[in-house]
Amino acid sequence: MNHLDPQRHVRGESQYLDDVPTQQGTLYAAVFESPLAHGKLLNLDLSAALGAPGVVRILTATDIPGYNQIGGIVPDEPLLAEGHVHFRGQPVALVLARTEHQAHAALKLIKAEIELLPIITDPRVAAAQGELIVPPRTFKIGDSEATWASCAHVFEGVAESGGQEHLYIETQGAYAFPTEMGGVRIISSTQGPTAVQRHTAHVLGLGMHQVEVDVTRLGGGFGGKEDQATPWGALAALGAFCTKKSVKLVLDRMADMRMTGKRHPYSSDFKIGLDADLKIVAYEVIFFQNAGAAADLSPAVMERTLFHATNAYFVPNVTATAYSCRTNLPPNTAFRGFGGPQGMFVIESAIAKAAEELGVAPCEIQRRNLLREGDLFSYRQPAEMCHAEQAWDTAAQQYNLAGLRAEVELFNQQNKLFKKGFAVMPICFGISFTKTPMNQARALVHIYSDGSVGVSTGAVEMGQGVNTKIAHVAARTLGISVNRVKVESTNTTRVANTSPSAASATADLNGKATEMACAALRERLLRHAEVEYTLNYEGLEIRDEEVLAAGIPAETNWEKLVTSAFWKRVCLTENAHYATPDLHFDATTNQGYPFAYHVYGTAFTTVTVDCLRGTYTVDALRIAHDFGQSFNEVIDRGQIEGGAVQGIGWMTMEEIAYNAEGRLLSNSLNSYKIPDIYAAPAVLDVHFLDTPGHPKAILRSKAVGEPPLMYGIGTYFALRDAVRAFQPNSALPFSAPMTPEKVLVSLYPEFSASNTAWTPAAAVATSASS
Amino acid sequence: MIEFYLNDQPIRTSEPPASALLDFVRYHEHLTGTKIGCREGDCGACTVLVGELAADGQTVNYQSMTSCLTPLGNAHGKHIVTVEGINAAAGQLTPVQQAIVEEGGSQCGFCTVGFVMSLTGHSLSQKPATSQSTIAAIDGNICRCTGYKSLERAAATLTAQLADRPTENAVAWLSEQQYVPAYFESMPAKLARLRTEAAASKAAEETNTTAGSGASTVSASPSGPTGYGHAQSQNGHSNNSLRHLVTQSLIGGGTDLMVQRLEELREQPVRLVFDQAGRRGIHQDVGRVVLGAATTASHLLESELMRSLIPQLPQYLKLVSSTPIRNMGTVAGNFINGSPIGDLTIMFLALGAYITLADPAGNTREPGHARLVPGLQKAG
Repeated sequence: MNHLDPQRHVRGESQYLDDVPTQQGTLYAAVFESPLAHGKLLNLDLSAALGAPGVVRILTATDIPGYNQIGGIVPDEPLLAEGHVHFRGQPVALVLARTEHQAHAALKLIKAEIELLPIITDPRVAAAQGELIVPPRTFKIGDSEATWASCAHVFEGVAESGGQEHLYIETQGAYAFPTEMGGVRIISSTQGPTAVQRHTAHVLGLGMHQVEVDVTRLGGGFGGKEDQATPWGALAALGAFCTKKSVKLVLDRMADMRMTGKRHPYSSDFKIGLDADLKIVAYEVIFFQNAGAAADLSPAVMERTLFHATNAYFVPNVTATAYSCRTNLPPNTAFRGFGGPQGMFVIESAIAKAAEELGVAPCEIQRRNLLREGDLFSYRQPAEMCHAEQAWDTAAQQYNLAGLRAEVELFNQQNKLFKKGFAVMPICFGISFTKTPMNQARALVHIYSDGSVGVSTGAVEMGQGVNTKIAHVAARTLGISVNRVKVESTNTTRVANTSPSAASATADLNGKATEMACAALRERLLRHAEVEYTLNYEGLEIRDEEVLAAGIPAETNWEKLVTSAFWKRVCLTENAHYATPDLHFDATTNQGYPFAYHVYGTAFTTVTVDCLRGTYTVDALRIAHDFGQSFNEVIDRGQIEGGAVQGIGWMTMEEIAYNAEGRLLSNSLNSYKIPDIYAAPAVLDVHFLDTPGHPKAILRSKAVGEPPLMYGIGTYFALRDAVRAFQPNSALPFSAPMTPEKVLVSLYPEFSASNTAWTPAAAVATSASS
Repeated sequence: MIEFYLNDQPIRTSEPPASALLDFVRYHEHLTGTKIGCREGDCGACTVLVGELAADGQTVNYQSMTSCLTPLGNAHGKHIVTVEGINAAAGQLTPVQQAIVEEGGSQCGFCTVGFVMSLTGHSLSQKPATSQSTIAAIDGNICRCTGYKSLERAAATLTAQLADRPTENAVAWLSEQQYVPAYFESMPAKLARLRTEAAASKAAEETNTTAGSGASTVSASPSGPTGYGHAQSQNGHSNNSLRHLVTQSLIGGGTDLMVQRLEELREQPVRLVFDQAGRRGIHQDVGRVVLGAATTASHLLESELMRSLIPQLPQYLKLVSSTPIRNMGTVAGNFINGSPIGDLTIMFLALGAYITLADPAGNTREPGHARLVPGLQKAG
């Protein structure tokens, strides 16, 4: 959102990919996907489709002039299937036709002959068969194994969290144009323009300089367009390259849901040891990540699970191991939180398990074990400027923790068929790409001779407000009105070699680069003013577009200063590069200093369960959050509220279901429910903690993108609490999402053969066939 | 020929009646403010307003509908409003737009226009605005970012502003307050003229019966007394042949057919029943209530009669999809669909409803509801 973006959004004037005016002669592309989840591709019969009305060409792997490879971390993902297919929905061929309708109609005429091979959908089965994307990783501090004997209490269990469909309302797509130099220009709905550029160049056998990628804005990304926008960009480009016509490819909703990966489901084993004072002394966890059929970002997601395996707690002895398991599902990918939520869900499950067994409230254990200044994480970075206890204690005071708990208790004493539940969810989230080299950004700032300013960075606007923040940073640094600043589209020819807009770090990285460029321009202009107007450089500043010398207005202002600088041939353009200082991480020892800083917060969740129906409402979510020094409270509050509701969706109603054949059953909005306005908590309070922020955060305003998603985890545990208030003896598995169906089964275990008999697949199969 | 107003522009088009209004708006008229999110009526990004001239000919009743599921033929004789049709000149914001901007209710912006249209439609409603009704107006809009709390705050601002809306001449007040542009005041007269012209051309056509005027003709009126308006000839010969009418697909609100069979229906002659006056309405007969086939879920919800007979109706209907879909989905469509998610079916099965089926020749039979739906997606 540029600072004026919302004004254009409400008028429907903001341009998204599908709104780009269509060039004459444009061909429309449709993707033929593998109908089976695993098999040998024996033959592809295109003859009937080639004869269909409007079909111009059908491209397969053999038409790729360069390398048929788009794997980012591991080269294990062809752009178009070759020899084998590994998941249902894998792109096999690209139909190019004169209209979108004709392209889609032709898909039905393609016949693929596939010899079926065994299908794996369960990560534990994959691990048992050695189907791993990368070797397992273990983060270790202290010696958990040696500690168990001395623990007062040890508990073990299994925790499972489901996937999550991104459901950006704008589906994936790209529009590619052949260029006169034999390259391509791609308008892409991607969080990673450079990834689209790099892989397209590779596929087409071109230098990266021959591929231009431009992004104006996304209609939502949430991680789903970080790596997985690449296939559509590269396919459209392949079409344009081969036909010398512009090619547009936009996935329809069901194709998007079938073909793209989601948040990784995890199945995990945990073991937790506490001392007599309820201090956690040891924690062991093994994560089985369902990676899907190719690596995509799974190794990095898995790594962040390990980084956040202990959430906001200090545990002296930790052994955390993770397996990235190859299954025959679409490659799972980045999703807000990037593995962190999955790790946190498991330790919260372990704490809940311990609390339930010991007959204490989970918050008694949680509060006692919060991180303090200087505590080491398992990766050896110390918690610095740590606000974990401050967040908890402020929330407790602000929202009256004891009172909230007492209210729930009283309600439950007085009500039989409705029960309330309560949970506290503290969070700690590390900010930076954990792959250190990605923590760099550039900004290109032009001051035009009339005093207006254009800023280009690598940041992609997708609703998180990064463009507004960048415009603000530029205006503040130059001392001018934000109305003079335009944030340009994100374009690989203006700012090269960018990191994707991800990891919550986009505003920090690109904002810092913008600040540096603008500071250099400001200094250059003031040096010019010193000479031009014979002023003392010391004490010169630009404030509210006035030039002040020792606080007194000089005989010039911003516009005049810029114009005179131009006529004196002063350079009014600056390009700055920012690399987050001091970061390092050794992936062989799993130790180092990977994060610029951590973000803290605490949320209280209260829910009410209808114990006749299993339905529930989230009554209140009360949050105390560490924003640092927020300089745009509207945007930052929106990120917290939005992230939390998305997290609630993941933990409650959003249930991804595949059948044993690897077919997605929750394949449309009709069978996959995401929060609507009634699902948002009736009360959603956000308290801005009084924290100083961090010097590595832009203008000391801390990153806000991902951390709030994890407040949603509290809803799972609050629901569990409510179920236990009705049915204290229910043997509840730790299994998210906690759908109303699961709640109902948990409330009446005697009516179901077993708690595990519930399969989402069975339920979805019924409605999907409607 | 389908004739209607799109914003302030008259439209005459021979596009297929079962094509989606959404595609017409975006790709035929190039109005790109209306977005495509799911094409199954679940996200609300394509919400438009559909204004229908009231029986008195003096007012236009506006309802929000998802344009992805609205058959273009159902726009006939209506005022279709997209965001471009409510935008004020010179970048000024309407109060709805202003409230969303001020509360930060637009993040990525892709769903935003849908919310703007739903809330604008609510402002045009003739009933008093309550905080509940304002939220209900946006219950069919998904914001994945998700700005629901900001949108709730925006809704509260609007509810307060709408407290001043007069019951008489509401459109004049709304136009003065810039909720809608001034041309809205002229819409009743424009739609009335459209209605008169349509009736005239229908009469002319009827005097000209067996003309066999070539393929792809569409009868002019959507509300012919026989109830087979928009029958499109399959071969250009016997336009009124009962045999052809029997084979033509019937479309009610389109809320399921337009999801499942859009591509197929586009290519076919269809019969639209949504607008047939004779197929609408709820009235009390001796010992029973009679619902017209084209009665929508919203009609049920608004019916004093239904609410007095079934006090729990509003709670139940709240679970039936969302406001725009309730504005479109018909009772008959719901029954004949035979789907387990045909929510009205459940209630009427429980009530032991009887159904009268009529064939094009006017022969009727009356199976019990349970006999009509013997199994999943089957109709008896």
